[in-house]
Amino acid sequence: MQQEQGKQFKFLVVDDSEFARKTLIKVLNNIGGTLAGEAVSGQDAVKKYNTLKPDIVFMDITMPGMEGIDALELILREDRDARVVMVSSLGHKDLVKDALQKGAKHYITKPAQNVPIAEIIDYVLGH
Amino acid sequence: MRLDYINPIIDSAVNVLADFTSAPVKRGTMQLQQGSTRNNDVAAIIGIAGEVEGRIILEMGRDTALSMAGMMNDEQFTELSPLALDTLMELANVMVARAVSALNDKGYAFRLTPPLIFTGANLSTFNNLSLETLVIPLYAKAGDMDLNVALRLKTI
Repeated sequence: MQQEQGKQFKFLVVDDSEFARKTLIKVLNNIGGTLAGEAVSGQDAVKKYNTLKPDIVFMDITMPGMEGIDALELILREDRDARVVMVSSLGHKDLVKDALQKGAKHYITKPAQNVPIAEIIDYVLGH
Repeated sequence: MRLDYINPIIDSAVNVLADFTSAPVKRGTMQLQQGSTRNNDVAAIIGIAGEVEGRIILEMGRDTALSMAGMMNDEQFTELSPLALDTLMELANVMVARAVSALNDKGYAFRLTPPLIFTGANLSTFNNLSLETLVIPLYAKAGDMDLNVALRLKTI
């Protein structure tokens, strides 16, 4: 696949599914992103956010242990400017509204290869 | 079983499979299952809870499972590795979650449980929970699969 031109950014991918992480990493690398790290749970995400300081986090919602919404709140408590994009196979309005009200910068539904990811990155990094 | 929540599940399964294989998916004739399901080698199971309860199983043979995981990862699998199985769980999860989201937006209160996957030779599933089970054959580029839907309205 040909690499598209885009902003340089360092990202953290949080998902308990290896397939989901791999797919998203491929899509983000293709638009100029650099992988800062991977996390497999909410607790892991909070720990890695604090050490890796990525420009943007892609966070699954349903994970064993701490869920993505709780991890989002903990990350924002430490860093009010954190840019977290929620990624879920669920996309009903109540869930999306709740995530955005709690401080997520965007919400995308899986599969990630079907969303205009470059536009979302531009929007999120520009705010 | 009510068609107003069965149809979105079938539509979602067909659309998600078509998205992941970049090819059209044909839907076979829906049948009411009596007793155990037909034998398959891989079964990815998603539980449904809330206003409606039960489970949805995506079943397929080993060759179809390898082919499907290969298409989704853009690589060839010769065994059902942890990544291949994780891929098939994610497939079942996305299929059901897309339908659950659409149904929640229509006012139904559904939740889903994390996927589980079973593998073995000639697996068949059976329940004694008085759940009516519908089997919908799906003919995809990766091979033939069965979507096995057993749901009922929760009684309070």
